[in-house]
Amino acid sequence: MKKFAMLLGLAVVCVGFSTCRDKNSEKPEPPIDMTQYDNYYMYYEEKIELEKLNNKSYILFENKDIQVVSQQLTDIGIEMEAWPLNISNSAENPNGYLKNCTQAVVYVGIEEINEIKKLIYIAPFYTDLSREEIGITAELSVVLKRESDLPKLKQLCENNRVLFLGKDTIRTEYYILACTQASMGNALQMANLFYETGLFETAIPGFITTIHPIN
Amino acid sequence: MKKTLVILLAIIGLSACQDNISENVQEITIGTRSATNTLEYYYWCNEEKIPLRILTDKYFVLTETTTSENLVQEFEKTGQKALSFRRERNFSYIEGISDNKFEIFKKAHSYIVSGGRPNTKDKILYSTPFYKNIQDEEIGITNEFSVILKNDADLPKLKHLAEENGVLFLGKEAIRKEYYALACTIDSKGNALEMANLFYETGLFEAANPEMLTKISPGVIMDPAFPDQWNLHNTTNLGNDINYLNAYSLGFPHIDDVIVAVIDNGVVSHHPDLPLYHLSFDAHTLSTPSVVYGSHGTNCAALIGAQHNNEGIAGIAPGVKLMPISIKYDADPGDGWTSSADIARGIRWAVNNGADILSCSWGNGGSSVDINREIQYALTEGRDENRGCIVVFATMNDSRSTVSYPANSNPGILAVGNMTSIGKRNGSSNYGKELDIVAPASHIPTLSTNLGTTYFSGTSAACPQVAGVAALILSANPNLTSKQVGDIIELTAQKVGGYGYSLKPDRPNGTWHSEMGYGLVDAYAAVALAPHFSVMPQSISGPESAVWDTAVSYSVSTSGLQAAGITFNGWSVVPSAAGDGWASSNYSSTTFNVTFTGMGEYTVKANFTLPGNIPYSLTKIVNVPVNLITPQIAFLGGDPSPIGRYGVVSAGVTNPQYVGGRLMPGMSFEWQVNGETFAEEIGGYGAFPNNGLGSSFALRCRSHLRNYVSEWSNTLYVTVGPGMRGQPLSQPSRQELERLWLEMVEAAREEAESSRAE
Repeated sequence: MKKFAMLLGLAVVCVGFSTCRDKNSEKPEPPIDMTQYDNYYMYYEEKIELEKLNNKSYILFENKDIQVVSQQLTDIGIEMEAWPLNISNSAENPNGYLKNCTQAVVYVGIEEINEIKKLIYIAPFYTDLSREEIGITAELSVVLKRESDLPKLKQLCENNRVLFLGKDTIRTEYYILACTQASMGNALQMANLFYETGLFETAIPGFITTIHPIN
Repeated sequence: MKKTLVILLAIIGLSACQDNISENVQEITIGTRSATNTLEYYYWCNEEKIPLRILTDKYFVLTETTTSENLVQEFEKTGQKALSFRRERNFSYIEGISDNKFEIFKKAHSYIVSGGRPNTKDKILYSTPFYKNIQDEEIGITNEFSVILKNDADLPKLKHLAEENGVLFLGKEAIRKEYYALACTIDSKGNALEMANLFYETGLFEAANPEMLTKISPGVIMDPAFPDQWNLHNTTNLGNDINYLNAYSLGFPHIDDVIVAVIDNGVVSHHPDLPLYHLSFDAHTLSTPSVVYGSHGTNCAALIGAQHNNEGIAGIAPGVKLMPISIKYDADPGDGWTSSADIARGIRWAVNNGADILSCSWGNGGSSVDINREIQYALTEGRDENRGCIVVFATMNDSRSTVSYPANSNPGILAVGNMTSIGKRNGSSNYGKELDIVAPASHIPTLSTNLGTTYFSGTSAACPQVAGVAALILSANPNLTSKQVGDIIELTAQKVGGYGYSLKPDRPNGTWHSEMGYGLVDAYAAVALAPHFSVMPQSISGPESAVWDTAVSYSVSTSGLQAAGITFNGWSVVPSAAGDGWASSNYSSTTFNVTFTGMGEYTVKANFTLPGNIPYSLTKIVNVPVNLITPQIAFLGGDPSPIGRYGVVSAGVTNPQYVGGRLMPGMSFEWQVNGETFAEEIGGYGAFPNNGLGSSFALRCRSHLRNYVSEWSNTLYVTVGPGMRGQPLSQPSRQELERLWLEMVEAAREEAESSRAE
């Protein structure tokens, strides 16, 4: 009964999304408040609180736009640390989504780069309780409870304008999804939303962190 | 005169046995005669008899060179295997030897024949069996032995004895000039072992040593940086190393079957001292091969697998397959950001490509479900038959009392801290409840990316050493599970540094300390235990709590131990003096009945000896609780002056904790007066009837306590053992003490007067 109610809720959300869906437009206003899925991530059954950083953001853009993006950032005095996105190495990605993209960390809050053109995806950085900085990439990964749940995952992706990239090439029980600016939220919000539907074993947002050698 | 008599007796003794020897023309009768003519196998070393056990399937054989090839073929026909040892004997080490005299030996070809007794008698000049020593090492005896004279004037005696026993006197050695060389033939009255013993036991010579054939491991590691590798052999502070040289002597037979994934910032592929496995992966770009982003990975990998090749340093597990999985650190050139999902993929790639061990000298603060799930995957799904990968992480170097992520994220991880050369925790090494083990890692040599050597420190350097020892364990027993390898490392750890290691309920593998974990990793003990671990009992059965003065039983299974060469040596209990004797105990049975007559914490040990004479114990902590009942205060007498010096307490406890004028182990008393605590002083009076109900006892406060004990401060606690504080007591007021004292004095006076009147 509970699952039925959940699916019904999702269906309502789906209808809501469909009505305002415009593939070429900016991000639509979601029918639910996505901020409720912000500022935490699920660590197994535990909510880990995050604090948003105002001086660092994660961005994604196509390789061909690197000069444009770089120039725009330089014009407003913002530094960028960029490196290639290897999405095709991590997911089957038969549609070639985000295939030729560059990811970057910019040292400014997301509010200050909303006007930058050609950005496919923007997400904030956070700090966790140990003050470690965590960036949210465009990627999220989901493990199904049963293979037969795959249509539900695809439907939820469609409803939330999340790209379905297919199976993880190495961790084959994972499905890889990716968010863009057209999605209903960033990868953190989407992972939380997906996980809290109760439909999946896990839904993990893509993190970037700094890894320290120990000497 | 005496010496002559000894020689004479020896010759007579030999003559008596000569028939035995002569009967066997081709094969020398083995068995060496001691002075008492007892037949036994041994040789002399530093005035000590070293016992030997004869082998019946391996022989030293001497044959003529001309017939040797045909002989080998004949051996093979009968299923025997002949290994050429010396094609021709070069007597150049003898001064002035006559070629003609020893022509037969000069042309002799010696073999080691295994698979049974050689049966081609007519072509064999000489044969003698092999032996095994107490360490189970095979020892062959050639036909030669050497003698050192006590005085040069004794040379005629040596020649005479040789002649009497049919032994050839070859002459003085050219290199070891104090030695004289001799050789036995089939006409000698014994083989070289027997003759050496006989000659030595005449007392005429300083030494008489048979020439022995043994397998020599490359026991001396010649890598130029090895003398500085104090982590492997600490010559300054003995015992504060991983006991590597002893481990090395055991050999690592299957080390080239073990794959260690070094998840780090890449390992240089062109270092002559550091060959790499052909499989590698770059988790940053999710592609093969791995990439070198910095020097850290090479520094780590070298500690595990640097070759023993007279170059650079000596790795712990030379020959192991090193599989670099590159990730990128914040300090590496270029961008410093790493995707947790990509690290997870790197781990998965390593596991799916056969990694047995993951060595991870890194950490970060962001707990990641991605990484956690992969660690769990490695621990449970890795290796054949899901034995699980051994996952080793460094605790990091923040000088914190908490182990960092990911080392703290899964109890199956081996979390490794850093120890200094004097056996102490390095101040920077994170520690805490997840710490499992430490390794010596403060300024140790390793390889650099520029093909040279450098020095390396921190838990980064500690982690690969434990990974290396894990590789040695798998080389000794590839069938062990991940948990078993971790258990072996923890069970065999060395309790160094003088820390108060103790047993903890959630730490089953022996005593543990928050700064050192189970202690310093011991490569030798771990490798020695590994082959036998599956037959070793894992724990002692029996209660963890016992009632005072009530018998309890503990047991271990010894099934299969004897076949594995493991000896059960019985039981022990510490503190041994605690019980003041055991009501009933049988120390040698696998079941141990014991009565604890004291209270507190006891350690019951089942003791074993592993092959190689290595001690090994299982331990169980047993708590015998103290049960205070509400104590009462009473004044029992004593010097009341100054008033309040004596806090006199009558208390009841369910067990007597004050026996024979001393406290039982683990127990202490303290007074607490108005929030201030004072250690006890125990008076020599008071009594505890051993009836289990308790009675009165006396405690004398420190003299300065009198300042606090007055008619206005009357709260007093008695604490027995940690956290076992009794109910607050009502301390007698000064007036009350004075009244009691006067009553006692008056009673004593009346009693005295009464006595006088009578």
